[in-house]
Amino acid sequence: MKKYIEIEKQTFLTFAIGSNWFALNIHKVLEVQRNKEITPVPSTAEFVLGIINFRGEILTVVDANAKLASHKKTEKTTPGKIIIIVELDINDRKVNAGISVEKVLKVIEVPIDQLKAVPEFGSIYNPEYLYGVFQINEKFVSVLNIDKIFTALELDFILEHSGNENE
Amino acid sequence: MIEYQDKYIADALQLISNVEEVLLKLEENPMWNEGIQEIFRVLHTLKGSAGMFGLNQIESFTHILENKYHLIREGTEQLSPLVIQCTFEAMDLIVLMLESKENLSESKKQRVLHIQQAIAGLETQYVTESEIFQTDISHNQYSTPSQASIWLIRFIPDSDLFMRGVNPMGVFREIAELASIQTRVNFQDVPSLDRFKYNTTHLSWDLIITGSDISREAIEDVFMFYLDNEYIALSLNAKDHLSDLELEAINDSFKDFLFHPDEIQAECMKLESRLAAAMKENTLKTYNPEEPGNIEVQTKKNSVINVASERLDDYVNLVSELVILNSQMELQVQKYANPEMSKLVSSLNKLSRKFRDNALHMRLVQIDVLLVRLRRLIRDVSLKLGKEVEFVSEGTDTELDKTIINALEAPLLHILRNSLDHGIETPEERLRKNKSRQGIIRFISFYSGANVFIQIQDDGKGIDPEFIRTKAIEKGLINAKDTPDKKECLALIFAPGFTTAETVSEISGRGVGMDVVRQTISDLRGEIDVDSEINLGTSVTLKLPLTLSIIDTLMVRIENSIFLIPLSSIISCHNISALQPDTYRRQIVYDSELIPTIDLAEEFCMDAGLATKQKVVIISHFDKYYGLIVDEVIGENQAVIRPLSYFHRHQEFLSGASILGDGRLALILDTTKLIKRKILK
Amino acid sequence: MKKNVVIADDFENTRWVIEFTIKNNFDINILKAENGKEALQYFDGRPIHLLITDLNMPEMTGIELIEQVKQLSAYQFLPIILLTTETDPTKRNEASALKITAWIKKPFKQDEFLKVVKKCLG
Repeated sequence: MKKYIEIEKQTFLTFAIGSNWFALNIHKVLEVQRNKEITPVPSTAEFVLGIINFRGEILTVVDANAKLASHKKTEKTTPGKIIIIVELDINDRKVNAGISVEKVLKVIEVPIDQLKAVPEFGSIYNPEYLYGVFQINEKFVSVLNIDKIFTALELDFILEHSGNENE
Repeated sequence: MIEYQDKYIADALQLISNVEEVLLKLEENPMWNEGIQEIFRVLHTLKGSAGMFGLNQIESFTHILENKYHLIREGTEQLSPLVIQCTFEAMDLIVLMLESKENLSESKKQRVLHIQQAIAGLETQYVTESEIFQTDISHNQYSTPSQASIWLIRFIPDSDLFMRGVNPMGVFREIAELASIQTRVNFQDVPSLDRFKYNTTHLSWDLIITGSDISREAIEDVFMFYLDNEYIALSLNAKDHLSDLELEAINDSFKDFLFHPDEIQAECMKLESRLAAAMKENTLKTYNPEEPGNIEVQTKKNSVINVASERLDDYVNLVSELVILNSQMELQVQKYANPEMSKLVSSLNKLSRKFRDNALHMRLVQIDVLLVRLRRLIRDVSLKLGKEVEFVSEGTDTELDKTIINALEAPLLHILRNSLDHGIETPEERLRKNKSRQGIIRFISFYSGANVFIQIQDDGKGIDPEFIRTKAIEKGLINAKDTPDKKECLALIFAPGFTTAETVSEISGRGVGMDVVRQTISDLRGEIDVDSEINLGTSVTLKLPLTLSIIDTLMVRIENSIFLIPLSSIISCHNISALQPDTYRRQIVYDSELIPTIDLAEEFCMDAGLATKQKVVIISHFDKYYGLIVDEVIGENQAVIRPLSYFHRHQEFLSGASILGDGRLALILDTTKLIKRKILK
Repeated sequence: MKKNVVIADDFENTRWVIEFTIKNNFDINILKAENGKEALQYFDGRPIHLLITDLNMPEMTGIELIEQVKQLSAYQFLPIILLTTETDPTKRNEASALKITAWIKKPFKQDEFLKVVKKCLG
C-alpha cells in the first residue's frame, strides 16, 4: 500500500515585470482589473500612478515596476495596463490598494516545502520585500511581502510630501 | 442580530424611563390626554421591537396594556389606579427581563409571574390589531357623528375556491373585526354524498352587516380575493323604515334572501339605537370643558433614536454609492434610448437622490446641543472673574453636520472665554462707562445659502486696533513701518503666537489662541471673521458649510484631468484675455486691482508651462482675490466627497475626490490650502 | 409552530424586501429560492402556508412552479401570491387561469402587500 504524505499547498497569483516573475498570495488579492482609467494625483511620489474608483472606494495605484526595479534599474519599464487590487495590513489596519503590472500570468498551487528562503544578497530586490522564492520549470518566482512593501512605501509618501514643503 | 438586540435594550430602557416620568404625572392627573397618548405610543413601540427580537413574553403583555390604553384613549374606559400600577409594574418587569435575559432567579420568576397575572387580568376586552391601526389614523375625528351603515351581502364563492388557496372563513373573521354580522347559510346546492367533491365548495351565504362608517372600500377589501361575480353587496340607509326603493332593490338582487325584510328592518333599528347611545357617551366625554394636559409641557425626546455615528457614516457612504451608480446607469440608458427604461431610471434617480438628502439630513444636529456647555462655561467663568453676564441665544434650531458640531465645541468655548476675559468689563467699569451692569453675550446662528453662520457678539470694551498693532510689532509679527488698516489689524489676532493678555491668565491667553480656532474652522472648510468697535463690543462670525460630505463645485478641465473647485470660494469665471494679463500671466487685473494667478497645470506639473490656457476662475481667500488658470470651465456639479485613499492622507491641497457620473474620478481642490501653499513658496 | 412561507424571486433585492417586510410584521419562517426549481424543493411534505412567487424566473418560471405545486396533493389548497410586473393582459389571464389566490404588481406598497399576506395567512 502506498502512503501519501499530505503536503500543505499555497495558492499564488503570478505576474511578470519585464522578464522577472513575481507571486502574490491569493488571499491578498481582491480582484484583477484591466484597462481601468487611472486618475493622476498631482504632487505625489513618482511611483504613484494615481487613484482609481474601485466599487465606490478610492484606491491608490502604485507602479510595481518602478518600485520593484528601483534598487537596480536593470531594465527600462513602463507602467502596466493591468491593476491587481490587493488587501493590505498596514500598521494594523486593512487598506486596499492597486498595483499596476504588465502581465498577469496564472494562478498556481505550490507545496510549501518548495518555497525557498531568499538569498541574503545577490538578489536585485530588497530581500525584506520577499517571503521567498520558488521555481517553476527554469524560472524563479519571487513571492512578494506586499504588506512590507507598502509599509515602506508609506514612508516614501510622507517624505515626498514634507519634501515639497521645504522646497 | 445580537448587537441590534443590545441597541433595542438601550432604547427600551430609555423609553421606559420616559414612561415612568409620564406615569407619575398621570397619577396626579388621569385625564391628561397627551400622557395617555404618549404611553400608548411607547407601548406600541416596545411591543413592535420586542416582537422583532423574539422577546415574545414582553410582546404579549405589552400588547394587553396597549389595548387597554387604546380603550382609555378612545374614551371607552377610564384610566384607573390599577392600570397605572400595572403599567409601572410592567415597566419593572421589562427592565428585569431585559437586564437578566434568560437567567432570572427563582424569586424574580415569581414576581414576573405575579405581574403577568395582574396584567392579564386587565384583559377584559380583546381589541384586534387592525382596529388599533384603523383608529390610529382616525382617532382625531371620533367626535364627528358616525354614519350608521347597513350592508346586505350575498356571497356565492366559485366552486374552485379551495383550489385558489382561499379560505372563505377569512371573510367572516374580517367582517367580525369591522362590524357585527348576521349570517345564514344556503345549503341547497350541497349534493348528495356520492356526488360530493371534497375540493369544491357547495355553500353560499347571505349576510347582514351593521356598524358605523363601513365604506364600500372596506367591503371590497374583505372580498379582495374574490371575483366580482362571487359576491353582491348592497348598502342601505339605516332608518326606521326601509324605503320602497330599497325593498325593491333587495328583491331584485337578492332573490330568496335568507333574511326577511322585517328582520333587516329590526337590525337597522338596533343599530340606530346603539349608535345613538355611543354618541351620547362620546359627547359627554369629549366636551370636557377643562381639557387638562393641554397646558402641560410636551414630553419630547423619546421619538429620537440614537444611531452609532459609524453606522450612519456607512449608510451615507452606501447611499452615495447608490447615487453614483444611478447616474452611471442614467448615462448608459441614454445611449440605448429605451424610453421605458429611461422612465424607470429617472424615477430611480429621483428616489436615490431623496435617499441621499435623507441620509445627509440624518447627520444634521441642532446647534442647541452645544449650548449647555457654553452656558455652563459662561456661568463658571463670569463667576470666577466677578463679571455679570447675560447669555442670549438665537436660532438655536439651526442644524449642522454632527462632525462639525463636535469640532466646533472647542473653538466656540475659546471665543467665549476671550469675550468674557477681554471683552466684557467688570460691573464697576461698565457703570463708569454708562453701560448696564450686566454684559450681554449673544449667540446667533442662521442659514445663508449652503452655509450656516454663527455669530458671537459681546457688548464689551471691544478691540483697539492700535493696541493690536503695537503688540504685533512687539511679537515681531509685523514691521514697525507697516500701517495695516483696522481690518488687517483685527485679523492679526488670528496670527500664530499672538496673545494679548498682559499676564497669561487661567481663563485665556495660553498663547495657543485664535490661530488654533481659525485652523479648526478652516479645517471644517469654514471661515472666521472678527469685527469690533471700541467700547461697543466685538463680534466673531463663523461661516460653516452645512455638511462635510457633499459640496457644490465648479467642474473645470486642466489638461486631461477634471478638477472640482468649491463654489463657495468662487467669485466669477472669465476669459483670461479680458483681464489684461501680463506677459507671463502671473498677474491679471480684476476689479481694477492687480491680482496674482496660479496656473494650475504648471502648479501640478502637468505641462511645460506653455501658457495656452484660456479661462480663469477668480476665487477669494480672506477677502483677497486670486485667479486660477484652467483649460475649460465645464459647469456646476454637486459632488459627494470621498476621502483620498489612505496613502494620500497627507495630501495638501486636495480635500478629496468625487466619482463623476461616468465613473471617472475628479479631484476636489482645497483652495484655502492651495493658496496657503503658494504663499509659503 | 411557526408558519412557513416560501418566497421565489430571482432578484435578491426583491427577496430581501419581502423577507424584511414579512419578518417585521409576522412571526414567520421564511424559505427563500432564486427560481422555481429551488422553490419546488421546499415542497417535500413539510407544512407550507403560503407561496409568494415571481412570474418570470430562470430555470423554472412562476407559472411552471405553480403548476407543479398544484399537482402535489398535500399542497393543492395552498394560498399563492403571484408577483408580476406584467401589464400584458393575455399574460395576466394566463396567470389567473392558474387558480392563484392573489397577484401583486411590482413594485408594491408595503401596506398593500402586508394586507394580502395577512389575509392569506388567516
